[in-house]
Amino acid sequence: MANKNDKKEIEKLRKENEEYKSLIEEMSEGFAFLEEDLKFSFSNRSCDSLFGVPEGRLIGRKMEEFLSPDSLDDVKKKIKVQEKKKKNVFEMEIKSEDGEKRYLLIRSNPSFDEKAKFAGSFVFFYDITKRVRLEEALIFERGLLNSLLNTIPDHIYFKDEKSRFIKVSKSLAVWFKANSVDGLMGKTDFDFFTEEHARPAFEDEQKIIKTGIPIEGKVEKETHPDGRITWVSTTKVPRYGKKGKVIGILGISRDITEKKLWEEEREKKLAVQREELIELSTPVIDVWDGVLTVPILGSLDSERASRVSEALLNQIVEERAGVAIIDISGITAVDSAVADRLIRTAKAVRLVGAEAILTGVGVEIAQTIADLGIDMEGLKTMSTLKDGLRYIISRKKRSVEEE
Amino acid sequence: MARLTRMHLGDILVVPIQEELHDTAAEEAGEKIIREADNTNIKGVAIDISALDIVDSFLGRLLQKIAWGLRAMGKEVILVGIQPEVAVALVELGLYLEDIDTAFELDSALEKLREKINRET
Repeated sequence: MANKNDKKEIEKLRKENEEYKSLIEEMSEGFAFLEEDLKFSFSNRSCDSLFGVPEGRLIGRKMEEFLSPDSLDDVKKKIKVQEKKKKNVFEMEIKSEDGEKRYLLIRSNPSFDEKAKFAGSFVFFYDITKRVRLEEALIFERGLLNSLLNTIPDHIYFKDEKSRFIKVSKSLAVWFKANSVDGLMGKTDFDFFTEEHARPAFEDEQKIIKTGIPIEGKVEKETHPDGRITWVSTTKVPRYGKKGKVIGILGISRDITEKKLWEEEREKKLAVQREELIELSTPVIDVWDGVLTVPILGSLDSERASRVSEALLNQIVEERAGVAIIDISGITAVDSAVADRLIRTAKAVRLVGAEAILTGVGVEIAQTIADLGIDMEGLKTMSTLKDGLRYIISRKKRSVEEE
Repeated sequence: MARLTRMHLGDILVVPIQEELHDTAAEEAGEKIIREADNTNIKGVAIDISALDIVDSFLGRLLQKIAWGLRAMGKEVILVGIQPEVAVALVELGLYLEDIDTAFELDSALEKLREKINRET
């Protein structure tokens, strides 16, 4: 009877043992028993596969076969701690038999024999390769981003949907004369610029957030509270959140102050030169008492023509000149618009109260004038400047004689 | 309505236009000048517009009309003190006023007028 009961008990225990064993075998985590010298004396299926060996073949192998010398020392140290009855959790990198590098999280529990002597450890292995790789990738990306933000002289800034700084480049902190990039967090352009620049920049950004349309290479005038004025070329683009909604902007501004000043300087110089050139090319010469001459040389476009007209009329009125000779013998090209303008100038001269004489009218210009059908009434023309002067001299003589 | 100064210097009527005249005021002024000149004693009229910086097409054409009217009445006419800007504007409008005499200032205008009047008589 007792025997029968014993048998039943044994059978039950055996069954339980089988169940435990299969449970351990089927676990998705790796499980093993490591002896004191880090030899595997038990290993489940998952553990075998983690170490890349065929089922049941990890037993008898040593941990060090899968570790680099450096990490072996590390693992040994961590296992040794357990002799003082401590559990331990740590991570390690292994090179499995199938050539894969794997990162494992290890939970190790010490085991002691009847004499309370350290006998080895029960160890759970979790494959954390994916997580570690992701972390590495993130660290790598962050390194790239940081090197960008710390070294590039252009001002780079990320802002939230209310145009507040959430990440900025070192160069921007320097630009704002702030002590650190952290000092900028949560602040806006209004904290660093005067309204004149901060307002339109804010409006630009809000428009990008609303419409998603970026701004590229916009030249902006920055006005600082200390009175500094700087110029930047700015590109701003929308930043999208997970749901595809715009959650802020990313901007890059390049300092172009020097270039701008240089351009302005050059613009000014050019304007002065242009002015000088025009004056040089259209001199109004006071040839005699009450007689002005404008020799027109080169080509005459309508801008120059109206300048000539303006200069001549002003001088006539200023000097009360009775006669103005417009000599066009030196003109190289005449189109109908210019011929028309010349005739109009001569007519305006008469209106202000002087006599206009057009000299040096060549065949070509005469033809153009004829083609235009311009009324030459009230306009004296002479073939050369010399003739014009001779005419004036003889007339003066006559009036002197008459007196 | 705008005041219009008129001066008689012997047989010459001098009309200085001192402000920009528009529409009806201009037309009234024109009429006044013609009526004032309608007098056998008046032989010539000098219209001084040196105070005007701008002349629009309306006033330009009116000046031409007045001049032509006075001429039809047998009076000599001279326009005085057309500013450069005004001259350019008139030319742009195609108002060359070729048959009307011009002078810088009143002095020379009176001289020119007198010369013409003397030649005729």
